[in-house]
Amino acid sequence: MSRKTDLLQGTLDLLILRTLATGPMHGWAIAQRIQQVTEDVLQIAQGSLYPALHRLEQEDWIEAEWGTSEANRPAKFYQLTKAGRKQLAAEEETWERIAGAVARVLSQA
Amino acid sequence: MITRIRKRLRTIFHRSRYERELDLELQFHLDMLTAQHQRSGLSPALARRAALRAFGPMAGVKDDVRDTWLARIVESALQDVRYGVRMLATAPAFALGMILTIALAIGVNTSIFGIAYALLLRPLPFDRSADLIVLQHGTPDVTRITFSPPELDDYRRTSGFDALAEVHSMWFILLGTREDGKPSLEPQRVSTGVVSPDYFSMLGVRPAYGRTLMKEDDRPGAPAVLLLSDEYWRRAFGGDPSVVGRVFQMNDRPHTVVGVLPPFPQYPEAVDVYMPTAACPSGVADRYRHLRARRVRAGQCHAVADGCGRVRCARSEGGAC
Repeated sequence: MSRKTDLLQGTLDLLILRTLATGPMHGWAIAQRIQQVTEDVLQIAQGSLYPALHRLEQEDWIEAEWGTSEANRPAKFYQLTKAGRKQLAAEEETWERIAGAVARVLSQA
Repeated sequence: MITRIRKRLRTIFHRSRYERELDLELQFHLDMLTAQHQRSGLSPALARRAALRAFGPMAGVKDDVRDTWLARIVESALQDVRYGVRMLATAPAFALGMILTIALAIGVNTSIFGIAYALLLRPLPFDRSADLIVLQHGTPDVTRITFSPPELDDYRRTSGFDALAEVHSMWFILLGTREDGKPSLEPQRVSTGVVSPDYFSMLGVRPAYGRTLMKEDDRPGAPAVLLLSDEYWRRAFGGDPSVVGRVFQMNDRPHTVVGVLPPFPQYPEAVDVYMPTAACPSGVADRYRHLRARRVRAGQCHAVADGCGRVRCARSEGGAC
């Protein structure tokens, strides 16, 4: 299994940030959530998910705290920081612009 | 900003905690994956295997996570450097002045430390140099009274020192001799260190050529011997090792050169040649005069002991010595 994501560069960050905008979550829940919402179209490989989470944490866009999972086990919960919300807004805007541009190119052809 | 820096530093200094937490985090994910497979009907063992397969190489994931920690540290360090350079570039004259000031300060510091190190800190190149002390005695109004041989013997017997060497210096005239015993060199005035035979072994100074002094050299009536200092040997004999064994006339006695010393920091002063205390021309009997002289001196004259047994009054008032 490839550890590299097939997603567009930076898209994984956007997906994680957007998912966390709904509330604190651990890594497993983030992956599940993205898979569910996209109806299994996007499957996040753990090999990409955890490096991304730690990178975002180092950027101070998300922060982590140890808590208890639904199964009553210690789990590392991530949540957005203030800087993370700003970053999410910026990345959403960028994404819309690119997606719109790509869509226009496709409809023209 | 401060919390960011603190977080970066934590990744470095609490590395083991970060590693443990990463293990726990990935383990949790793996367990959830296993549980999912179990719910879809696999046995616990099979579910575990399937989860591990789906997870991929654990070590690789960990490496990638560690890379993100390291990347941030390096990146923020580079950011700091870039910021510093940009700030300096906005005020080049100020920056230049600052850099020169700091460079000068560092230079001065370094050279002062170099001097202080050489003078105060660097250990002497002697055996057990930290254990070496200089023994002096005196009275409240007269310092540095020289030692008499009986006093030295007393110190040797009672002080508990591992070794106690005696040293003083004098000037002598050295006359070279030919095979037939006639003088051949120009007479030379040489500063002479008069030392007890254990002086060199105590300091750990080993001869460059020949030997240093032995106990036998210090017996009364022993054949007179000389050691040459490195500096004098090069100056007077051009560094010729064959000088060892040559006989010179000194104080009306033949003195045989038995060795050449290596360069070493001579104490208390650099001299040309060394001889054992027994060879000091005033003789052992005379050396006891120190004691008497000291008693005399107490009242009336500022005495300077020349260290070889004789005491003369430097500023004699009435010539009482």
